[in-house]
Amino acid sequence: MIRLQRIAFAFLICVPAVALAADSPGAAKITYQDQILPLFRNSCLNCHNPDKKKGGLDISSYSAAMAGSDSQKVIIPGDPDGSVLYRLVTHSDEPKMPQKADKLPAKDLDLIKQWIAGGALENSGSKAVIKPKLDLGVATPTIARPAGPPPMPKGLSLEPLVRTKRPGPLNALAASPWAPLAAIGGQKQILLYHTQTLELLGVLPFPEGLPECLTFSRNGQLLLCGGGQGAKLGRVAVWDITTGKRITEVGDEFDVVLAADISPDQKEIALGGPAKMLRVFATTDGEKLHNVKKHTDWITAVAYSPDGKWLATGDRSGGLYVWEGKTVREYYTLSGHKGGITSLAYRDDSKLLASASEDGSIKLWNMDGGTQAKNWNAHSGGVLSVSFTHDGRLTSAGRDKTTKTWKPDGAAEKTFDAFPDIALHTAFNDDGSRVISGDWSGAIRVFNTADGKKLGDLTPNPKPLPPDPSPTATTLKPATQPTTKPIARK
Amino acid sequence: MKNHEGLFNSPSRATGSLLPVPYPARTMKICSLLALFALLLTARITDTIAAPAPTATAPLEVFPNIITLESSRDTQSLVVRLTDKQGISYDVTSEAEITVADPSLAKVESGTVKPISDGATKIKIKHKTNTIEIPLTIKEAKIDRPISFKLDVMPVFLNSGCNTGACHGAARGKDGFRLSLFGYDPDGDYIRLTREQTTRRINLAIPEDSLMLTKGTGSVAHTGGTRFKEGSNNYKTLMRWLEAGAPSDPDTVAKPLSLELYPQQMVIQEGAPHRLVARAKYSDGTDRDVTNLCLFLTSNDNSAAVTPTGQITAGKRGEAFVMARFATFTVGSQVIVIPKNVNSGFPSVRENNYIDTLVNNKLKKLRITPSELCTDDIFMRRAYIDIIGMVPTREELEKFMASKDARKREKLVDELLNRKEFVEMWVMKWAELLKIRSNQDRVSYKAAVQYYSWLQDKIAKNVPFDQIVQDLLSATGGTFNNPATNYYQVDTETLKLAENTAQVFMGMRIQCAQCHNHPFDRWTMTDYYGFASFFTQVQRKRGEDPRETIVTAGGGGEINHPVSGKPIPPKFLGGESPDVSGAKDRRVLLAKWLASPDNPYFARNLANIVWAHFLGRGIIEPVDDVRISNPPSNPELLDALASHFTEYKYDFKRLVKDICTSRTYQLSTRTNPTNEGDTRNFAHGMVRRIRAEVLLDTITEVTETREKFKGLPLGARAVQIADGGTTNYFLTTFGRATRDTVCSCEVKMEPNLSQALHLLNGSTVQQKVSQGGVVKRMLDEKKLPGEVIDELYLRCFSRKPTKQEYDALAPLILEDPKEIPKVLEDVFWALLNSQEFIFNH
Repeated sequence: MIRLQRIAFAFLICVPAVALAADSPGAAKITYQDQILPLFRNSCLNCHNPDKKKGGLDISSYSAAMAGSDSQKVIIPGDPDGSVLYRLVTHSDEPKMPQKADKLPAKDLDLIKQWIAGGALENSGSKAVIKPKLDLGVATPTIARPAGPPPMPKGLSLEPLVRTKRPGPLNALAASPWAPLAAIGGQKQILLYHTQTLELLGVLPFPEGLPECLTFSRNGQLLLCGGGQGAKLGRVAVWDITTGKRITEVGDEFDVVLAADISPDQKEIALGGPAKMLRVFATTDGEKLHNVKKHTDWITAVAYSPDGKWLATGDRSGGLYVWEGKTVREYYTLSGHKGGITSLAYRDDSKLLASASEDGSIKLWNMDGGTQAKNWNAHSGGVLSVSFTHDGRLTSAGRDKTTKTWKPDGAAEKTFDAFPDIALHTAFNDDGSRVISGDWSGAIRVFNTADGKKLGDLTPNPKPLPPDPSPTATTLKPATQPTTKPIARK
Repeated sequence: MKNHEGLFNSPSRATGSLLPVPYPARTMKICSLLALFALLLTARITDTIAAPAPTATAPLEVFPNIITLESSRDTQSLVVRLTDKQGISYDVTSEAEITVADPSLAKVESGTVKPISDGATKIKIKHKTNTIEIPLTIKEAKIDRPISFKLDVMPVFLNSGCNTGACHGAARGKDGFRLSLFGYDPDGDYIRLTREQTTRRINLAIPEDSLMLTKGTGSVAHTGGTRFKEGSNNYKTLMRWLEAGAPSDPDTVAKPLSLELYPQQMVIQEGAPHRLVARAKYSDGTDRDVTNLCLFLTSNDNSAAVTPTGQITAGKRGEAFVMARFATFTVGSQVIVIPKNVNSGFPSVRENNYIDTLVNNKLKKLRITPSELCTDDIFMRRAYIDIIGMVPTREELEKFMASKDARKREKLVDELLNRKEFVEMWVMKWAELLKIRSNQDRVSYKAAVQYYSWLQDKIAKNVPFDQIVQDLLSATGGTFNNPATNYYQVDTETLKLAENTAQVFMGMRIQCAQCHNHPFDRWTMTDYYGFASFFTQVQRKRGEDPRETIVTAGGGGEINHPVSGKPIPPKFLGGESPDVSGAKDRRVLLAKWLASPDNPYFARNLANIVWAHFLGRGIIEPVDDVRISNPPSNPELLDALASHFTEYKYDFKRLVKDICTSRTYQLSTRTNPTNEGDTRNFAHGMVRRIRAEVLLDTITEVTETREKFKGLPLGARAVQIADGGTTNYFLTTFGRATRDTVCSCEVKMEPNLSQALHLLNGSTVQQKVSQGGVVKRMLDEKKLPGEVIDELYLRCFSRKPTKQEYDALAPLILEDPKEIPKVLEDVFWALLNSQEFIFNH
């Protein structure tokens, strides 16, 4: 663990305080006193003055403006896009400002942008002090590949437990971080496919019901599945991916588990669902360690950061919280999404959390300070899935039926051919060269990340094997009895 | 309810509680208080309905009487009804022999016709000696109609109660799942059901595992419990849809156009069962038996309970309106339940005009005998209070009583209709509905007074009412220059204006349809926004005088449908969509249509308002709640009043004259055994508390005192108050309309404790008796105590005291001659506190 952190630290790219253009001779400084206050006076101070203080915000003086509103700082020097004030006046976020009036003219918006970018100076004598900004462009993986050959299924049963007339949707999807392996949630079973050859490698039974979420452990050794039967049963099961043995299961919910993740040290499993409770269980004995009542709606997304420091959870009303990974103490409230959270993913360096929402946007959150680092509209109608590559690129799927990839800074990269129905899940393969994605109708496609071409199809509803008369044919019975074997990494 | 004359002859009066003269004033007041309480208690009218007489119908009938089956799955259930000579119907479906003439085309299984093969034939129904035949056509008998979300699945939600307001139809849904209330947004419901929670609610791979089924059948935890059983029709429909891949509908899917409910009327005996059949017609020309898909509701569970499958069970004697709801339609069937043995027979009574004929027709059906004609003195007091809001003077009374003219009542009505007080009464009534009152933000006091004066001027000149309404609705200009524009100032929101217009001039409360299709009426959101669309282009700006607003219309402005987000073109409520492309002011089009015979509701609504004023209850009650589920008690009467009103070119006076000269209006409040329970068929005069303004005016009149109201000269009448914002303790206590809303419920006629206490102990009565000095003046004129008592009785009750009353009063007068003025004042006070005074009877 310590070793890991050290490695992670080594890859951190620290940006020193930047010498800004505004400081260079020749360019006129934009300052609060000279340009910004007159602009605010025209358009903003009627509400945001010390007397009315609408929303708890007063911007009639420099110190008050920098102090921010009741809930947050509104100006982050050097980062216009991260500054709430700028986002609201440019109408890229709500509530649109100024309220009940026209948008500010472009030149004024530009002035505010330059002012913030230049360090939000108070007056001509001020010097810009800009916090090192998080670099979105991580270029190299920050987590070392585990030693040895990547864990792959060996000799698992290929006989599907359930074969239905219709395929059913892609209920859940996960790709192994280190092996060419994808897990697909079908009907009461999980299907393991090779992401290069697209072969079926194994069928893991999930008799509890529908798999709602799948995730691999950080080392790729374990596969975790949360799911169950609506309004009846919810459970998380864990398999050893090599043997296909169900090695443990936790949770005894009265409705499905909608989201679950396993901590990087494999000691804890966090889960959530319609009960609105965040529960954390010990993997060793299944003991419930934490039972947190905070979310006001169904918990729909749960993610541990790769360093185990953070646990992020999102709900159906857009509530997004970051907890301390070990203590599950509330750390950040990330407010901004206007629709339910559908998916959460951490970048390998644990510095950045991506959240996908029904509001159509993907937001990146800086875990140093809990501020919004980036926000863009990704899929109209709602984003349903988001995940990272090791090098910080993203893939997302949404209600516009498409799957897309994004550069580490959120710039659009590729939009793959649309599915027949809403695209539910997406994931990169282990080396980021392929994207596996599927939709509501059950179509699952593998795309080439580089050129966007479709490489093949997978199915959540594989055909039964032809009858094999050979008595040596091995079938693996579903592990009905959970083992209590400790799976925590030493 | 005891009739009023009865009250005076009742034992309670004989014991002296009405005129408790033997006691000192204080005791007397307590006794009167008790008597008043007794009155208040008995004033609650029990809501029972008399038994009806049957209408003449064919002995054996079958519903529906033409059947077309249009696909392999289409079936039609039948109801066979036998009607006896008394007009009582019996459901004989299960006893009747139902056969298909050509059994190769269709078959009948437990009263349901099912297709076999295409063709045309007949269905024969035989019951004992009666037989009838109805045509049957079968088309596409071998073809299965594909399952449709809108046509098949949506009705299941309505039928199973999934999308009611208490469940998933709530604005925020229930337990995380929302459906549109009563299914007003099928497209949204489709998305919510199939895609909103991505994979949760339906499972196309294993349909029986779908949460919508496991929840619906209650096999997993479901707050709403079991809504349908596994294997039921509803379950099968949902299953079929899931097995078909939960398809959405093509845009061409047929739309339901109408709903029919059979039989439309029935008279059944207590305890008898009767089935209903509902059939929907679609835009593609097909029809379907939707009996099992309708939501059945009853207006009166006691008389006619109805099961979810349309089976009525008659309960206690009474009338009920059983409704079926399907898609956006609500239709009703009138059910009359009569006891097993009722006596028929109707006395021959004089019918003064069409009103009496139509009222008596209904009474004949119900086997109710109307009351006798009331006496001249009672008629005179009743007509005075109703028509002009005053009581007759002694001179007027004596002249009328002395007259031998056979048409003297009619002449009296004519005379009263031409008094200015008649105008004032109706100006007041309309000022209430138009909410004429000053208002801090929008209507200045000056504007309110001008608005009132404008209305008074119109009514005084007997301007036809359609003209007044057209002036109001299309008013433009300053609120001072053209006071009619205040119509657009009392409420300024577009939606509120539309709602008020519908409620005041059409008697319809369309508010529900703002957010969802009206659950108990025909109005959809499209109707609502189409009507509101007439008001979207109203513009306002401040006039030179800051108290004045200038109202204009034209320019732009549309209103969007909240579901589709598209602008809705103007559409008359229950009428056409006019062409507004060339119209500068849409309101003018609306005004022309609204106050015209093209609008079927306008004349009916006004006639009903007038009727309710004189008879104490609307034919539709409350008068401003016209809806399918609140049918008129006598539709023929309402239609006749409306058509006469239209014929009279909306001249109020002529309508009032028809009403007041009818025998129905002149019936005594004394009941007979057949009509004592009647409250809605006008079989006897109704005892009504006098409304606040008139009561205060009357007290003022008989005590010869004067009142002062804001903005009016000393001695003006409460009826003349222009600004609804004027406050007065007496008027507020007695339930005067505050004119805050257009609701007819603003005027409160219910007696309550504070009213009784105010009359007894409050300043009004006591002060006015002494202030007016009526008794003192009469004694000064050397009138004898007996003459004073006569005079007081005539003033208050329009009659002389009875002998019993004289006998009770005499000892008091004789007891102590010095106390005579005091005793007489107490008598006066007691009369003013009596039920006979504060009620119109």
